[in-house]
Order: sequence, then structure tokens, then C-alpha cells
Amino acid sequence: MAETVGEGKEIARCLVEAVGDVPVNYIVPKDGLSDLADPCFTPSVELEEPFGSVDDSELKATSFCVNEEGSKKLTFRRPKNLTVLAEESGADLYDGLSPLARMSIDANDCQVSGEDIKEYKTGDVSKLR
Amino acid sequence: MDVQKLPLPAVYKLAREYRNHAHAVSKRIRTEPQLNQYYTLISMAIRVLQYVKQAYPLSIEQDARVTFDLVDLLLKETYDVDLAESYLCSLRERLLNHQICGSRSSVMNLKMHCELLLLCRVPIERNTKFHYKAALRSCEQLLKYLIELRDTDDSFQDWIQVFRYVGMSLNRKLGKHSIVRSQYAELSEVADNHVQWQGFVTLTHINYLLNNRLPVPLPDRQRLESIRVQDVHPRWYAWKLLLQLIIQIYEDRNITEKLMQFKAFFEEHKTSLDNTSDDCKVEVGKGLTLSLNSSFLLTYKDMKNLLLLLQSVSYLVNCHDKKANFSIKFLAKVISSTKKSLETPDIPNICSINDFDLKISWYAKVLSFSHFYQVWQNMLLLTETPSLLNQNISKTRHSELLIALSSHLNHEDELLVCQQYEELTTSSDTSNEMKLIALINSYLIRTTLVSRNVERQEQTKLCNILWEQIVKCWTDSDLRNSTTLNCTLTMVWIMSHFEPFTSNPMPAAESDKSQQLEKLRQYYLANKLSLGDEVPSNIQPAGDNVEESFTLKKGLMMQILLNYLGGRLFEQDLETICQISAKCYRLAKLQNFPIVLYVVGLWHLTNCTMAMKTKEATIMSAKLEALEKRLHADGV
Repeated sequence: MAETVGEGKEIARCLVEAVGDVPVNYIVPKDGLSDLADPCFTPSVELEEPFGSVDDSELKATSFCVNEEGSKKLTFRRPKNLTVLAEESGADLYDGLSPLARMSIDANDCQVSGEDIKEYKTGDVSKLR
Repeated sequence: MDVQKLPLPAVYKLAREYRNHAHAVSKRIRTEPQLNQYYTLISMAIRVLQYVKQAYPLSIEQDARVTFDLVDLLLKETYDVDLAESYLCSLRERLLNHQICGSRSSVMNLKMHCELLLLCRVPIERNTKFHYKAALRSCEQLLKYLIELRDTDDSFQDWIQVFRYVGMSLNRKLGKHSIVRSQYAELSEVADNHVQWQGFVTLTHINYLLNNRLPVPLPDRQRLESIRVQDVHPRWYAWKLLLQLIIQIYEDRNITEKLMQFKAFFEEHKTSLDNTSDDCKVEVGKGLTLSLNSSFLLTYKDMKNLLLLLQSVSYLVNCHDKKANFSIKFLAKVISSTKKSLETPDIPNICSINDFDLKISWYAKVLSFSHFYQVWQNMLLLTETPSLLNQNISKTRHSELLIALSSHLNHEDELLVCQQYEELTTSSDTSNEMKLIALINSYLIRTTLVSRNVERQEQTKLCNILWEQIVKCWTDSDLRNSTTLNCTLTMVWIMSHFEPFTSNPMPAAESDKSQQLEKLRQYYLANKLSLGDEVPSNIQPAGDNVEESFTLKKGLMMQILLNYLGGRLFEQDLETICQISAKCYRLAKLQNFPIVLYVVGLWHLTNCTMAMKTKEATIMSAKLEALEKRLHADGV
């Protein structure tokens, strides 16, 4: 092969020169396949239910206000992979809530808005999950 | 409205309702206002729980339960980790006081759960070295405390095991591989380990080793093998089979038998692998069962899809006939079914939007892998230069490697190509495997320069440096168990140190030379081509009693190189040599690497001439002349 530009090229005769001409294509990278099998379990303790049962008649209260002045504003996680459309339409997801739960949302004036839902942050160690 | 009218259980139930309702509708979220509704529900759940803590007198058990629910929501749905941690710390304080007052055993579980949240969940959410280290220190203190307690009460032994495991998990996160290794050995050498606990510890450990491409030692493999389907939930057994399969794939071994095991297992247990089955418990000891939380679980459908992807990877180099290679069909199938799953993911009916999101990210990873292997497959079977256009490959290192490979295949300036490869190897987050592939390619290019006498001294020096790095990558990782890599390294070494494979052999000690030759001989004997007339699409090794540890996959290029080298180095009989070179030439024609074909053809021509096969020699020289013309025309 050419040692300087412009000279007529010479074809390799040694095996190594032929092999170096192309990548070793049969070594297939396989990193990361095992990550796909990893459920990343975290252990926790099964606990007993410490609250008694509720008589449904007790839930007939019309609304319930927990609005505390000065309670900390929370930052919610915005899903990274899920596509969420900006449009206004869409089914009402409150359908199916009990009257108490439904009315308490209104009574508490605590609608979460888009600016409280932020993108993922990650730490300095690459995340396994 | 007088809030006190609602009794405590009703308020708690209201909090639950908000959370459960949110988790039940998470699947249906499509629009921004719906996402706001979801988080309004979550926010209500949190507020009601906070309210319960403020407004009601609670027993310690109730206090703990409300705090745990609150913390779970904060960790899963918000970024307010500090708030979650402060709730836990103050609860821990109260639990401790309570403990001093008496009733120790009833509060113990609450306390331990509190510790698990502080030591496992909180640091993972923060995910910084600093927080892992801090958690590790707390974990060690807790262990000391538990060991003191054990001296008076045996029942603490199980908790000690649990927190030893937690400490090991924290070391995993910190990348302290050798500490993890010894801690795992300690954990699994406890004589009366419960079979489920032992299984859990082993499965997570092997998964960790594989994720980090660390070798899986024999005792660990045996422990994995000893997990029996009757002792653990089917999903765990499937996990075991998956890990064993991945070990075989990482080592480039034959996976047929493992696939049969999967088939038999699925026939019996596939219904246990759906989203409803309750399998996430592990018995640590007689008196202690833990639940295991995972953000996502693989269902039968997911597992079938993953299996298909794994098979494609294994089959890629098994067969060079593009019509008969399974990977082509399989990868296309994985892509289409994963795309479908992305539209309708297989997730439980009750699930946080963030778990849902993680499952989607799993599908996205599978899809990205499939695209990557499709590019590789086209390069391997169709000699297509990798193109990153329209490719959905999310891993940066994967894309960088493909860019370097395509420069190489496009015959861009050698030094530039080497530079691309070597840049990959200098980043600290490049894995050993990726490094090794880049290093081997770069080494071969530089050895070519040495052989052609281009900057010979300089390039020889660089080759030696590269070789040291190659050996390091290889010995530091599980790559040393791959026969493909082992044989390749031997061939590469021999090509660069022996004439006539290079014009300028690099210097080496005689002992190294004979050692490498001996290794090559073993690979050659175990894999040499059978000398029948046909070139079958699947290359059959000739030997009957072949040592299994030297059996190779049927990568076309590897077979050509091995038989070329073996034929020249170890064969004496001219007729045999002639047959081998004829076969190598025919194999080389199957892939579009003209220079490799040319060099192999030259060898065959020489053999024909020596064996006085005049007719064949004439044909060969005509073919080679034509090839020369073609190469000149291509400007090579």
C-alpha cells in the first residue's frame, strides 16, 4: 500500500495487513443484556394494618378540608418516557372517586399544575434501573 | 366543615382512596391536564396523611404506618427526598423512645422497616456516592447494635443477615467489587440459610456480576444452579434461567440446551408469570418474611420477547448465510412486538405513573438493543457499513463504536481510525468489553503499519501499549471466559509476531511464542474445517471428540483466520494443506472483504503450484489477477 500519498498502491500480501484493513466483525458487544433481566428489588417488612374498619355512613360528610397554610410545596416527577400530549381534552380521571374525595379536592384548592411537575434528576452514580 | 367529625380510620381511608385511585388511572394518562389530575390525587393523598399526623392522637403503630405511606409517596412521586428522610428520622426517634418504654418486640418490625427505607430506598433516590457512603456507615452501626442484641436473643440473627445484605447492596452501588465479593461469600456461607433467602441473595449477586461484566466463579454458578423450581416462585426460577442463559451468551457458548429448559419451564409455569401473581416475598428465616419491591416485573410476554432478543445475539455469528440466519427474522420480530408493547405496556392494573414510566423505559432499551444488533447483523451478513441515520440507538458508547467501525470499513485514514477507537478506550465509563473490541481493532491497524514499515518503531511501541491494555481488559473481566475472545487474542498475537503473517514480526520471548502457538493448536484442532467438497452454510468442525472448552462459534471471519493460521502452522501434508486453503478461499468469497480474499487466494495459489496442480493454479492466478484489477480500480 501507499507509503506516501499519490504513489501507486500495492496490495497487502500478509495476513495481518489484510485483517487490519477491516474490523473484527464477529466480536459482538453484549454489555447491558443482563440489566434487562434485573428486577432491582428493594426489601421491605410486611406490616399489620393498624387502622380499624370504617362504617360507610361515617363517610357521608360533605367535604373535608386539610388546607394548611405554609405546608411545603412539593415537586412531582415528570415521566421521562411516557408521551403526554399538551392538548386540553381527555377523559376526567376523577371519575369513580367517592363524593367525599371528590368534594375535598375542590374544598382544598390544591390543583397541581404543570410547573410543579419536573424532569428527572439523577445523581452522580449511573442508575441501574 | 368540622373536620373532627371524621373518625381517624375514615380519614386514613380517604388518603388510601386518593392514592389507589391515582394508581388505578395512571395507565390512562394521555394529556397534560390528566397528568395534573394524577398529581393532584397524589398531592391530596400526601396532604391527608400529613393532616392525620398533625390532627389525631396516634398509636405508635398508626404513626409508623402513616409515616411509611407518606414516605413511600414522597419517594416514588416527588423529588422531596429530604422531607421523606426527615419524616423517617423523627419516626425512628419515636420508635427508639417507645422501645425503651418496653414492648420491644412489637415495635421491632416497625423499626427495621424504618431502617430499610433509610438505608435502601432513600440513598437510591439520591444516588450519589456521598449518600451511599453515609448509609453504609449507618448500616455498619446498626449491625453492631443488632449483633449485641443477638447475644441475648437469637431471633435477631435473621435481621443481621438482612442488614448484611443491605450493606453489600450499598457497596455494589459504590462499585466496591472486591468487598462485595467477600461479603457475598460470608452471606452465603451461613449454614442454615433459608433456601429462599439464599436464592434471592444469589440471584441478585449473579445479576450484579453480569451487569458489571465480572467473572462468575464456579461456587456462585453452583449456587445458581441449585435454585430449584419447587423452592422459589416461578418468576424467580425464570430469572435464574435468564441469568444462566446470559452467562452462556457472554461466554459465546451454545445455548440450545438452556432454551429447551425454558421451553419445558414455560409449558408448566407460564400462567404464574403474569402481573397479578403475588411472588414478591422472601423468607429469610422461620420468623421473618420480607416483601420485595420492584418497579417493574417481567411478564411471560416480556420474557418471551427478551428471550428472542438474546437468541438473536447468540445466533448472529452462528451462521453466515443470510438466508438461514435466525437473527434476521428474530430481531425484526422483537422490534415489532416491542413497538406494540410500547403502545400497550404489560403493567399491573394498580401502578404508579413512575413505575409505568420505568417499564416503558425497559421496552425502549430492548428496542434500542434490537436496532443496534440489526446494524451489526447487516455489517456481518450483508457487509453493510453501519449508518447511524434512522437508527434509534440510545447507548452513546454503542453509537461511538459503530462510528469508528464505519470509518474503518470506509478505509478512512488509518491513524484517524485508530484515534477514534482509542478515544473510546480512554473514557472512564467505557466498559471493558467495548474497550477490548476497540483495542483489538486499533492494534490490528497499527500492526499493519508495522508490517508495512510505516513509522515502525513508533507503531511497535504503541502496539505494545495497546497489547498491555488488551490483556488488562481481558483479565479484569468475564471476557476471559469467552472462547471467541480468547482465540481471537491468540490469533492476533500470532499474526503480529510471526512471519509470514507479518513482514515485520514484533519481538517476543521464545516461551511466549511457544505458549501462544500451543493455544492456537488446541483451538485449531478443535475447530478445523471438515474437508468435504461442499461449503455448507453451517461450518461443521471436523473433530469428533473435541474438547468443549475450545469449541468456537462459527463466525466466518474467525474460521477463515483460524484455518489459515492452523493450515500454515500445523499441517504437514501438502494435499491436506491444499484442501484447507481451497476451503478458506471459498469461505472468504462469502464475505465482501476483497483484501482478505486476495491474501487467502495467494496462499491457495502457492499451495496449488507446490502440489503441481497446474490447472487449479492457472485458474487461481487468473482469479487473483482479476481481483487485483478490481482492487486497483477501487483505489485500495
